[in-house]
Formats: sequence, C-alpha cells, structure tokens
Amino acid sequence: MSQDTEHLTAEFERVFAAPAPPTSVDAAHLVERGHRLLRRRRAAGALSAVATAAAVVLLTTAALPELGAHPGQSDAPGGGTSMLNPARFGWLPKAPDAYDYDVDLGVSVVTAEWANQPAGDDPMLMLYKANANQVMPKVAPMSPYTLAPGDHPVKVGTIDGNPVWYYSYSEQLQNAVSLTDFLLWKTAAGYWAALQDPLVDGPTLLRIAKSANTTPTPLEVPLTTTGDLAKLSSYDVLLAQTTDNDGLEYIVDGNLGNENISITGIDGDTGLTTQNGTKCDFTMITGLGSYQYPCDQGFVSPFQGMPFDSPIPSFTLPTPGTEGYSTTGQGSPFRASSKVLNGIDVYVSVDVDEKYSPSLSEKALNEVTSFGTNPADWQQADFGN
Amino acid sequence: MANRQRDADFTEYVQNKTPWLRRVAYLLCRDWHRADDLVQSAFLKLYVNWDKARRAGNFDGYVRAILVNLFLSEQKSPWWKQITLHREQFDETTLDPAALDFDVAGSLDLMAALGAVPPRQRAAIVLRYYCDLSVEETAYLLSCSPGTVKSQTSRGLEALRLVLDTPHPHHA
Repeated sequence: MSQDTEHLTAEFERVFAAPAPPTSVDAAHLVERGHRLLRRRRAAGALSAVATAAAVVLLTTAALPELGAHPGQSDAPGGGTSMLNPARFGWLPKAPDAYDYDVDLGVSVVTAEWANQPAGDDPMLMLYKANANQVMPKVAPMSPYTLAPGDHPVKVGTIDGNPVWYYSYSEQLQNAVSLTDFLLWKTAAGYWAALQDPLVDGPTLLRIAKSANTTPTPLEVPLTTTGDLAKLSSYDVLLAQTTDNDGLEYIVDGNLGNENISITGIDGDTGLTTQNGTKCDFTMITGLGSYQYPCDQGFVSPFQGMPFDSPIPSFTLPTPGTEGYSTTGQGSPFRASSKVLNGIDVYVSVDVDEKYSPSLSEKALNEVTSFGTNPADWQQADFGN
Repeated sequence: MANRQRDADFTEYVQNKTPWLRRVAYLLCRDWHRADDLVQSAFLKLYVNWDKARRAGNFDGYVRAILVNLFLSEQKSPWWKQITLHREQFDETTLDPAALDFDVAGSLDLMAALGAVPPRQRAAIVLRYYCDLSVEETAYLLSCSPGTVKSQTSRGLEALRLVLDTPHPHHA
C-alpha cells in the first residue's frame, strides 16, 4: 500500500468499504441521558452562582468602599480601572494561559483561554457599558434585554445595602432555547454589575458595568483561581431556574444543621389544562456529604385538584434519603418542608414536571414566597473545586 | 415546547451524523464498540452544549472536536492505559511492528498500522487526511500550534510507513 499522502484519504475510505457493524448509538436514549445531565449541571451551576454570590458579597463588601471613594482609579496591577469586582471563582480550573479580546456590537468580550482545554469550554468574560436602567445585554444577538415580570427575578440578598437579584431568562435561538442566569446588583459606585451563570454548561460570563466606550485590557480581567469557601451566614439564598420542562426550579444548597427546610408559595396554575387542575411533581433531592452524589427522591403527588381553602399540605423528611412532596391545585397556597439531620449537605430542588401540566407547566408554580431556613442557620458551605 | 424542538433537532442530527462520526471514532480507536462509546459520549456532550454549538455555527466541527478530545483524554486515563496495554502490549514511544498482531490484508493493514501510531499523531493524521482539515484547523482542534501539527503528522506518517514496510511473520 502506498503511503503517499495523496492516496491516504482514499485508503481511509477503503477501510469502510465493508459495512460497519450495527451501532449501539440510540438518539432517544441520548436525549434521556441529556435531560438528566442538564438537570444536574444546572443544579451545579446554581451552586456556583450561590458560591459566587457569597464570594462577591464578601469580597465586594470589602472592595466597594474603596472603589466608591476612588472611582476610576486603578487598583489592579499595572493600572486597570477599579470597577472590577475581585470575585474569586473556585470552579475555574486554573489561571488562564491567555486572553483574547474582541468587541462585538458594543460589548467588550474577553475570552479566557486555557491550554489543553477541550474545544468550546473556554469561559468568557463580558464587560458592557453602564446603563442607567436595569437593562441587560443579551449574549446573542447582543440586543438590550429588559427585565420583565415574567423573568422571575428573585431577591437573594444585599451587597452594601443594595439588593442583589437573581433572574433567569430564556431566549429563542433558531428553535432552541438558551437559558441565561444572572446575579445582578448595583455597586456602591452606582454601576450595574452582573455575574452570569454558566450557559447550560457553557461559558462563565462576568459582565461588569463600566463607563462608556471603555474596552478591557488584560490587566482588568478579574480572574483568579483560588477557591474560597462561601459564607452564607447572612443570606437566605433562593435561586429560580427554568427547568428543562419549562417549569420553575428552585434550588437551595448548603450545609445545614438540624433544620426544617420549608417552601411556601402560591400555585399559579390557571387550571386550563384539565378540570382537575394540574399535578405538580415537587422533587426534593438530598445527598449525603456533597452534591456530587445526589439521589433523586422525588415522587409524584396523587393530588387531583385541591379546593382553594383546603389545609396546606406538608411533609417531613426525618432522615436523609426519605422522600416527600407537597402539591396543590390551582391558585392554592402550598407548603412543604423537609427535616434534615445535622451535618449533611442538602440539595433541594422543586420543579414542575411537564408531563403533569403539559400545556402550562411554566405557570404551574409562579411564586415562591419563602424558601429555606432561618439565615442564621446557614453554615459555611464548601463550594467550588 | 422549545425543548421538544431541541430534542427533535438533536435526534435528527444524531440519526444523520452517527455513521460519519462512528467512522472518525473508529479510525481513532480501531474498535467499533469503543467507537460507539466515544460517539455516544460526544453526542451527549453536544446535547448539553447544544446552544453553544449552534452559536458556533458548526455542529459537525463541534462534535468532532469533542470526540477527538474525548479520545485523547481516554488515552491519558490510567484505566484505559491499563486496558490498552493488556490488549495490545504496544509501547507508544518505541514502535515495534513485529510485536503487533495485525492483518496486513486490505484495509486491516492500514488499521493495524494506525494502532502502532501514538494517539495524538494518529488523531493528527485522521483529522488531516480523513476529515480533510487544514493544518490550522487541526491545530485549533488539538489545541496546539500548526508547527506541532506538522511535526505530529510527519512523525505519524513515518510510523505508518515503518509498520507497513515491515514484513509481518503471518504474511511472510
């Protein structure tokens, strides 16, 4: 056989002259696995957001007074602007090896690159111009996006007395939905700062408001790699996420003491799906030790529509690994609680299963009025790498 | 629902592209079962990163990059090295064609010879001469410089020649 490279392609094709054996690749099975993986990764993303929120709270609290006192002055080595928050990202693999800079439709994009990083896994930073209103730029097509009531922003705490909002929005991109999660707050210096959660296992984006027409420099990239423990002692964290069933998912995570986790809210189902109302699959997932080993303990409520004034159902989880649920019919308040043992990491998610509310799952759970334990009960949680 | 549309698009893509991606995987790993495993893992990663791949505007390139990286990552993992050594007993640093048990007839000739080429060089050869990627495209996919691609390809081709030019005892 000639090894002339001109003939090598033909030789490769000759390898496949004989029919290949049947494949075990099954698209339906992959979709099913993909759903599970997405769900877990979103939850992991939420943990990152929680960690980041806490880290930002800690570090920004220390940094912002100085920033406020010296706006525009550099506190970065070599002289970048001082509007960057020194947040620490424990989930990044290591210090970036290189940065790539670009400006796209007025949004400064910084792509952090790592050697030997699988293709497409490079985190990205985005810095955008300051705006007087609560307006976020979209990742694509970079048009301004204004928060709307349907975006389910959730107050998750404060930074320097200013509220921090978590919100999630989805956008339609060529028949696919892109989910984007933000932590958004106004800094003491009066700028909008936004930290974006991974785009469904996509790049980690940090958007920080800057003065107009300012482009980033390498020294302004606020990436460090040292993981840090997130102290959640003074913050009641509630994250709302859009589930892969287009419902809402509320996730809280932390190392809890011997406390009850409770959920209260309003079931917003309009009752248009069936006469009996919509069943909601409230799933509670608890895991021992760390999030890496969650076990899905959810089960489906047998409830078939509860009168508005019915007693609020509740459940308890006396030990980790015990399942529980609560659900209500249209317009009813609901409450669920779970008791966890001292010293375990607990991960709880509540979501609406599309199969029980096929047409209006996104409205089946439209408001959660409280979630979590007494903030004083939160203990130090080990997030990140 | 948009997610249903996403699932439908993904399903259609998998059904259309599985034969192509299996072939790439098979050239890399030389085992159809392992090729299926690689392809499934690559498709699963593609599903999770569907939006990002869509933004990249090149699903084929994206999933191929995932596949190659998965293959190379597996080569580094201790468990796979152990299996490989037990199965083939080849040393990537010193080519010993005589120690290889391969069939020199027809296409098996090339496949056996590919097995004697270190994985990264093999990937470079497959990407360059089967996938018809440029040096620059291959360099981007392998996260190395174009010069490295050239040297890897050259060394890989030399290894192929060495193996193929060596008379095998089964066919002497």
